[in-house]
Amino acid sequence: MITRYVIKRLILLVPLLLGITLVSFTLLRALPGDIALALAGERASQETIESIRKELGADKNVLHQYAGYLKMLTHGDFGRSHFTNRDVLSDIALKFPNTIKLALSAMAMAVPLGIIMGYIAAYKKEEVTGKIIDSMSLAALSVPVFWSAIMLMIVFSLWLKLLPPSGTGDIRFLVLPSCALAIPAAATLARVTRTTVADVLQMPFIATAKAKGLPSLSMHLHHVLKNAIIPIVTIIALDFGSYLNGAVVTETIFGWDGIGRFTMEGIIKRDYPVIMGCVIAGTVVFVLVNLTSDVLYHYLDPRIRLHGGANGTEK
Amino acid sequence: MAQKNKVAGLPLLFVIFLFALSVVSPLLPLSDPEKIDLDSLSKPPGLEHPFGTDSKGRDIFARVVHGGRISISVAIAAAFISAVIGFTVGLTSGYFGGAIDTVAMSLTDFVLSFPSLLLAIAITVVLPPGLYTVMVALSAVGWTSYARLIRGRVIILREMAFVDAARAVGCGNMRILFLHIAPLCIPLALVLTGIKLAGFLLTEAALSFLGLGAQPPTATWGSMISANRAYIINAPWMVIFPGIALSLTAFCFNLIGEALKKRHGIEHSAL
Repeated sequence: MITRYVIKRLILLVPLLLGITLVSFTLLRALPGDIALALAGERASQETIESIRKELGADKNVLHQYAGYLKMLTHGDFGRSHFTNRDVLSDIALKFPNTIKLALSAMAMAVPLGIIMGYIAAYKKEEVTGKIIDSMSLAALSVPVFWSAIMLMIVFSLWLKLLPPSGTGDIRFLVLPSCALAIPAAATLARVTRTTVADVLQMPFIATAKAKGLPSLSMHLHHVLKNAIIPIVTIIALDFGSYLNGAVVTETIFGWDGIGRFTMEGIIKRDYPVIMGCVIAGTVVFVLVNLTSDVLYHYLDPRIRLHGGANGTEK
Repeated sequence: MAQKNKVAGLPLLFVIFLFALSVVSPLLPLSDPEKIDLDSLSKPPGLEHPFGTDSKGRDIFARVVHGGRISISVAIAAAFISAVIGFTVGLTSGYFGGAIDTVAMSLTDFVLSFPSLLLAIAITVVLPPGLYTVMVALSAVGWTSYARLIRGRVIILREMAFVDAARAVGCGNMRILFLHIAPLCIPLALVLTGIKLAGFLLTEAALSFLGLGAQPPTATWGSMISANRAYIINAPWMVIFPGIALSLTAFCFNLIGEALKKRHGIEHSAL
């Protein structure tokens, strides 16, 4: 049953991709500015510009260009960057592992920290501890990532000289960007966990569990966490999905060679094949992460049944 | 109620102080934020320059005050534009339903399906750089939550007895929509603005930081942090103070937003 559901969702990905590529493709072509002019440079002759335009296929109408692009895609060809002339698909394949590494290590820090903090805040809701965690998480959400990133660099790279300030490489390069990403993620997670756990603690079955003398740990794991887990998983999936699409600011500051920086450079240079490639990769990743979390819902809470609709899950 | 008021009291006071400071800052005896002073390059914080000076000898305190004026006004303007667009879309799509509703809601879903920062970046790249472009980019991303929230409220309101009564006495759709239903949605839009202001402020800062916002020599908090990034080794104060100002303001906006959210029972899911 699960397999059928997953296959159905994956088949739905095809029309989704068609729609998204069509819209982004037309929008990109509708933008003011001439890519051929930008490529040829200021002093190029009219003939050079025309020949570049022809080479790019920019002299034909948009639908014609789009059909050509789709034909390329069916051959597994994402085209080449206008500026570096490198194959877009292999560039994405090269940068994607870096982005995954960053997203995973950020999540590895944020998830335990966020859940534990949220848990404590829910239990000590009316006490000073709870209020302090609350304000701390709100403060963490108010600090822009680009500033906390620079502060981390100042303290850990320049003053303490413990870690390299920027670059792509082994685990030492990974620590600071992951921390920068993990701070807001942990804060969001702590807030969501606090709310849902506090809700669950109000439920009558918790009172029953306490009354029948269930050991505290078992109650927390089997009664509280199990019932509070769904919104927590949702937030984790959302954050993880957006990090996999590239943490633009963090990757730019720390010079981390991932998808986010790649997309951003593509947009700034108007490198159409790169933008399109990133849009497609981003959509696929987003759908896969959502699908995984939907399937997870089913295992975490068997009351949630999966069916093949566009909305995915239904309670 | 009194307790809740107390929660937001201090940040509210701070924000009012910031607004006041922004309004009167041209009148204050501050140094000119754009005046280059070659005799005091990269001075650490001291009596003459409380926040120090930057690499061109400009007073950082003056730049933080003036930058805040711009950052906060951009955030408020963007919130206002978003509110107007989202309010209109939500009102019409909620009231008329049917095809209008389907189109409007697909459009919001479409906008929401893109990572918002990338969408804003794309817009700022296409349009000529500057403050107005930032406002356009922020509102293009920001109107969706207004549209959804207002639509939800209108769907409930349009089934109420007073709407039937208005129709019975012969009011047209437009009159019902704008004179009877719209006024009831305005408080909700204001509350949402309070909640979203911090987000607008931080996104504006991120765009400025990436060099897509206000162009030099105009100071905004984001662009100050970006421009002074190169000097963090010898002059960290150039980055620290604008960042503190930005974070503190966002924190106060967030505290006010949280208090509003609690009082009006608005859930995260609607945003």
